[in-house]
Amino acid sequence: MTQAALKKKKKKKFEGNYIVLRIVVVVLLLYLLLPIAIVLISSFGYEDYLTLTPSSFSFRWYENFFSNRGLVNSFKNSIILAICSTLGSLILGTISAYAMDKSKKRNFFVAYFGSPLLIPQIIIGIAMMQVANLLGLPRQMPLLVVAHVLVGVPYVVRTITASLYRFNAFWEEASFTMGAGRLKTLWYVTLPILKPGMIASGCFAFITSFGNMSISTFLTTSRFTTMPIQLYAYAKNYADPTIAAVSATTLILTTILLLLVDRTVGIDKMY
Amino acid sequence: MAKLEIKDVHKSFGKNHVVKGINLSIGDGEFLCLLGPSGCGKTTLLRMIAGLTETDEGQIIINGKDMTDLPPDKRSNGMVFQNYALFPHMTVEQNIAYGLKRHRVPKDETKRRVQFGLEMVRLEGLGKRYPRELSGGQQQRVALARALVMNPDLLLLDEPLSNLDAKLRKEMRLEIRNIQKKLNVTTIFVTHDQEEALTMADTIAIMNGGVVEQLGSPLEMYEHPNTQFVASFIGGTNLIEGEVVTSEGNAVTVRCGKTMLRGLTNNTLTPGQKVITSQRPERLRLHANGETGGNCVRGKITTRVYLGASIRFVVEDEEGRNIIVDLPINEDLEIYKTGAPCFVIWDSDDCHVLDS
Repeated sequence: MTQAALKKKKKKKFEGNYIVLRIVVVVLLLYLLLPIAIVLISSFGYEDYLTLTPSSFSFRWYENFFSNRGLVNSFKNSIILAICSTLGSLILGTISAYAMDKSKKRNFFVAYFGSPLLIPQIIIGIAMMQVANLLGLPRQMPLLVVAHVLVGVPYVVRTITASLYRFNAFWEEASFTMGAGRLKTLWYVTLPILKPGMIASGCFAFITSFGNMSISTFLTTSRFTTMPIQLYAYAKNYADPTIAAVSATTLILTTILLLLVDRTVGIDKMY
Repeated sequence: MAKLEIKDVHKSFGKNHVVKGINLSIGDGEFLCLLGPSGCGKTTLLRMIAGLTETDEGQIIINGKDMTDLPPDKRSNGMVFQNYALFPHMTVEQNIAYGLKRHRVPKDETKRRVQFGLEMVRLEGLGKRYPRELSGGQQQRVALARALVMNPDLLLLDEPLSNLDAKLRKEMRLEIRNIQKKLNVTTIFVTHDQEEALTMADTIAIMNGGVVEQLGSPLEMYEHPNTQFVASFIGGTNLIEGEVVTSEGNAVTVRCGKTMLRGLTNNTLTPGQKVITSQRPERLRLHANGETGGNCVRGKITTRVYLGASIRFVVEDEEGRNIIVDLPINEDLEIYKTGAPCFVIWDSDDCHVLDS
């Protein structure tokens, strides 16, 4: 065999591998997106079961969703809960990260504040329920917000700690020497520089809270409930694509949120 | 009236006493260099003047007003940091306008002054860029413009050139000095680089261990060092230990082993006192035969290094001391080869006798 032929064979082998790689990637992409595609497609279908090939286009499952008071109320509750707990997590998490960044025991605090992520959420749920029972707190929105802040804070602390790692203390000092006091410096220098990290971790906190089931289960009642729990209850009784319509609505809202973030700060800058 | 007066200022961090009673006074438009090795307290002193570090004891008076306990935003100093500290989320223009906006300077005036600042540091046309899109030298200039557009009482510079490469550093020395003179802004410049201090400053304060060792013009500092530290920190020098034999006025005779040296001193010395003599390498000469009239040491050339404009000789004298001699290139130097015997001679004016 000549040199050229050998080279050609080698090249061919490499290209062969490349094709395998492509197939693997396509399968992975399908694996990641197909279940969601089924949800999206069947929510707009006519059939009363989940299918990738609906016979005709229809809004009937959305009508079903919006006329179901239980689902709509729980959806509203979940949005309010996610907004409140995100804001709470952002405020507490940013302040904590900022304070511990200047501490000598920084590593200890970062690990400590991150620990709720390492505890199975169901345990946090049970613990919060017992605390609420002990203190006689009602199973209402404020209690849920407090519990969700608990799992939102670690995301914020982690991200802001990383942002602060690249934060230059001289930025604040330069601002002081130019006549800005602590509050103005916070507003014009510190927060704008931390903004991308706050938005990124805020998105995490929002989505975590919105989809949370294991903690919320222990802190809701039959009259006050959140979307995931209500959805679960619905799915136990009915198998129609109403749950797909709820999921699709969530997906669309999330996408709009992410697009807004991308417009304002840029998704690529978030990490 | 002095622009800035520092009266017996102290600062400790925990048990570490960093600034130990410093007194300084700077006139309007003066350029003062705080020069010293790392850890000598120079940056701490500058930060105390800026208000970024609190003063434990003493007073800092700017324009006749006691500023000791005022926070940095209530003083009006312009500061340039070692890493420039430009705001990464603002353009060059926004960076320069930052202080003006905080002081509610009207929009037209702000625009005019930002333009003036950009012209001052020769960065016209780069106003819309972000700091990350600029080179180190350009960032440095923005930081300078940002401090200057505020018309500050004092311009404070904390090792502003140490992150630049050697060539740019030399250019920026001149540029900063020119701008400073043009605006007649009183300036305090912190550096550990003696060459920077010598070329830029009107006055140098050499700091060591939290105190000012000597205060004076670059010329005084180089020609008449008061202490061993100053002599060895500014420029190269040969230090020879000895003991005072006679002392009349500022003329001193010192016995260094078997050698007698004649020199000058700024201090009061008594016979028998241990001292150190300092002589600059470029003030020494080589001679084939001994010469009377000045100081003379006999020795042998051990090393000869070509330095471009000059040649550096290391001469080992009969008592085993190494003496460095720098001489401008000259054909007559051909005879001084490595291993050749010779005499090192110098005038008593060039022999500074210092407290040991």
